[in-house]
Amino acid sequence: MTSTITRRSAAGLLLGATLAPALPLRAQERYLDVRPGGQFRPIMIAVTNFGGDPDAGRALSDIITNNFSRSVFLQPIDPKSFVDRTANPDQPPQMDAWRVLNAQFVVTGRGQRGGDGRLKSEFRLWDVASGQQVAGQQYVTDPNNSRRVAHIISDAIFTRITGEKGFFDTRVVFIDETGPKERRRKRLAIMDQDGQSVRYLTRGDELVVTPRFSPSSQEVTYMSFGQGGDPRVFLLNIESGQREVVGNFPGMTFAPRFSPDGQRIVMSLTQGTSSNLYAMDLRSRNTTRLSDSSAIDTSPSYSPDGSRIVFESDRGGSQQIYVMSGSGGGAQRISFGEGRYSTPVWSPKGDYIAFTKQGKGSFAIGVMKPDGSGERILTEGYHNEGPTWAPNGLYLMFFRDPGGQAGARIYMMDVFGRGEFPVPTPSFASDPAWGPLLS
Amino acid sequence: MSPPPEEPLSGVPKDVQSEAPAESRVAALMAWARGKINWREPGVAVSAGAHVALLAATLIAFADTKKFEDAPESIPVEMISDQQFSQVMKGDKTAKQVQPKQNAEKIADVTETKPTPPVAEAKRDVPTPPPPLKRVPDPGEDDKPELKPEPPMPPQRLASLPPTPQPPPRPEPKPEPVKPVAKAEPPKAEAPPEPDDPKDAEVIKPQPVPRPKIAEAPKDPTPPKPVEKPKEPTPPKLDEVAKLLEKRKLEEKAAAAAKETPKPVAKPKSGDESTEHKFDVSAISQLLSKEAPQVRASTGRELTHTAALGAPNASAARMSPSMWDSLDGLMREQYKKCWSYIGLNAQKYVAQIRVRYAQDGSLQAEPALLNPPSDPNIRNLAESAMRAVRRCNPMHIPSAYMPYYEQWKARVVRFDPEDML
Repeated sequence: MTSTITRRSAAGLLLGATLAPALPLRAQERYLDVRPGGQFRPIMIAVTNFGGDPDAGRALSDIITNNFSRSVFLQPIDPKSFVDRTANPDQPPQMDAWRVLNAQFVVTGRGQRGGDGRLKSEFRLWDVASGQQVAGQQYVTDPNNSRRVAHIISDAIFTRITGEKGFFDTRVVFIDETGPKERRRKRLAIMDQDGQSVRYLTRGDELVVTPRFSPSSQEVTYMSFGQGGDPRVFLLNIESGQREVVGNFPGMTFAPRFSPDGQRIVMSLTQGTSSNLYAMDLRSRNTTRLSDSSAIDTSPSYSPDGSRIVFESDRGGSQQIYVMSGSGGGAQRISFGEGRYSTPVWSPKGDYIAFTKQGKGSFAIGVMKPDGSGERILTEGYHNEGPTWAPNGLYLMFFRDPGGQAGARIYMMDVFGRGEFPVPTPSFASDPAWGPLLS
Repeated sequence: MSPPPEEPLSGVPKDVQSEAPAESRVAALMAWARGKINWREPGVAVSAGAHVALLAATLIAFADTKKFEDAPESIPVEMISDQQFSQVMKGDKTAKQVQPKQNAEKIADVTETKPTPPVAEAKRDVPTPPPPLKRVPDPGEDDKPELKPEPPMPPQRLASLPPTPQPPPRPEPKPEPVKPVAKAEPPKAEAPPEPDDPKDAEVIKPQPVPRPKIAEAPKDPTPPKPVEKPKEPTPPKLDEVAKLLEKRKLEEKAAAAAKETPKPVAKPKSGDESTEHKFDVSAISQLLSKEAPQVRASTGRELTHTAALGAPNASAARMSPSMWDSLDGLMREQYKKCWSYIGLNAQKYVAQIRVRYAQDGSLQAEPALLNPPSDPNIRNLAESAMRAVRRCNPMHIPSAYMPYYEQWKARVVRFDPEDML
């Protein structure tokens, strides 16, 4: 509760005041203070099988359950323990039975194909403790979109329970890697955040790296080595497949990233032995030079409000993370730990900067606050690299290469490092880039 | 300093112990000390040696005997837990709720029994009687100590009036006499003065029955104080009157120095405030009023000392601080387990929820969120706290805390998300 007295809080006080006479309020009423004490307890949720068409309903509830199982904050209860696997969505569930399972929320729903062939899906979210329905929604879509509907329902539930934005209805671009280690075929691909619905965006005849999703549109920017010539930064429209070179620079451009509003791309340009940061406005095509040093400045990433840019630079002798104004100028080093820091990425929430840290023969993924404090290593191993944020700033994806003949895989984890889940991909995969919420 | 001549332990030669003057004795002693033993009389040396040996033997023999232990005065100490302490201090829950008898510090005289019954009756009457109702407004006015000079009153009516008002204000007989006067007076204003007053006055003296006092007032339309003094017996409690009385008494004292002022001494209770009161041990008898005390010890047919039961939630058994702590701990642990806090809120918000428990620890009423957040982003935090309260239903509360139900039946639980990371 903030110190400001708002109308609602005043109403609350009034309520308390009116209740007071009814209750035998003793003068020395003792407060009971409950603090979590660092204990994290996921919210237990039971997702019943959706009714309606057995296949459609079942598919919906399976996707939702799977989503929640990777959400860390919500923990789906094993359906095997359900007394009533398919609850009637039109009636309140038997709360006592769910209470026994320690469920805090129950999801009931239905997926049914209408006469017009469209899929009608609905869900209800019940608070077991109070026995009340706290959310409910109905969607009508083309049956081909049933996966998206399930993700949208997942987001609605996640948001209702946690108060945070969802992230299930999102897609991820990544580099799909096939073939032997020496001659990997790297294709740009896109998938749902749960690893499903993979689609390839390039044919694999040219090497592509560091794809970045636009935060506001279905566009991807990446670096491609192309056929001959310098590697270039490209811009690709996912829906139309249209692609273009970003800017016309004399040297190699790499490490592109969108600005938070999606109107600019910031990237590195190599000139001689040094690399500097440039921003290009996608509409006017004007370019602005942001840094001017004889060192290698790369991996720029805007803060959510666009006012600052975090990037890595070896201007101090080794790779470290620096922050400068969004319009360029002097930079301030924020990483001071042992080892080398690279690929900083500013969280969409603005509260953290994720990075890759090298040292002692291993690569770690970690987060720190924008002022460089509060550094936390989330995972460490032979090779972890390339963190990317979920649009709600609560999760990260990165890729991990175990070494040897095996290739890289993509993993997802929450920003607190409480859970880590592999993202299933058809083959080896690297360089994930999380896109915005679709809905 | 004259040891008996045969002092055995001294070991001093006999010549030294002789009746010789002090100087020669000292000399002999010195000689003896220097080891000049008169071997012609070996008995002394032998005796001395034997005594020394004996002394040494006893010293050695008793050296290692056990000393007598100091017998400390034993103070019985009993260790009791806080809980037991609370048990000791609390009232008996099973005690019957007795309509407390009037506290009686003295056995009443025959006459004094009268006042009590009327009180009881008055109590009963309170709800029903139509006549009292009319007068009800009066008592309210009566409370104010002002005495209405207007005496006109039908005595009988007055008599009936006072009893009713009396009981409610003070159950004890003491107050009665006073109140009647005050009460009676206001009514007087309404009613015309009556000739019966004198009679009533007499009656009054013996007992605090309201009637008499009323009578007095009527007599003297002017402030009753002066009236009372002459009449002596009907000193109203009113402090003013008492003060006046005492003042007067003092004046008289000073003037006549007569220790036998028959004047009614206001009882200390009523007149204590006056500071001029000097205590003279020799005049204690003077201090003893010969008048019937205005403020009487509460009397009854038998002595009863009834301790107050107290309101059930006021003087009930209290939990000791450590009991509170352990109860808080128990409840806190349960709420912690019930609280799924996922620590996603940056804002500082502490949900305060009023919870009312039944005896078995279950929720007696819907928990009430006292400070609903205005920010929708933290609504889920408030909801998580509410869920925790509902999930922890019933709260398990050990039976040891049952006797203290009144104290924990309503609480405000605060869910503070601090330190989540």
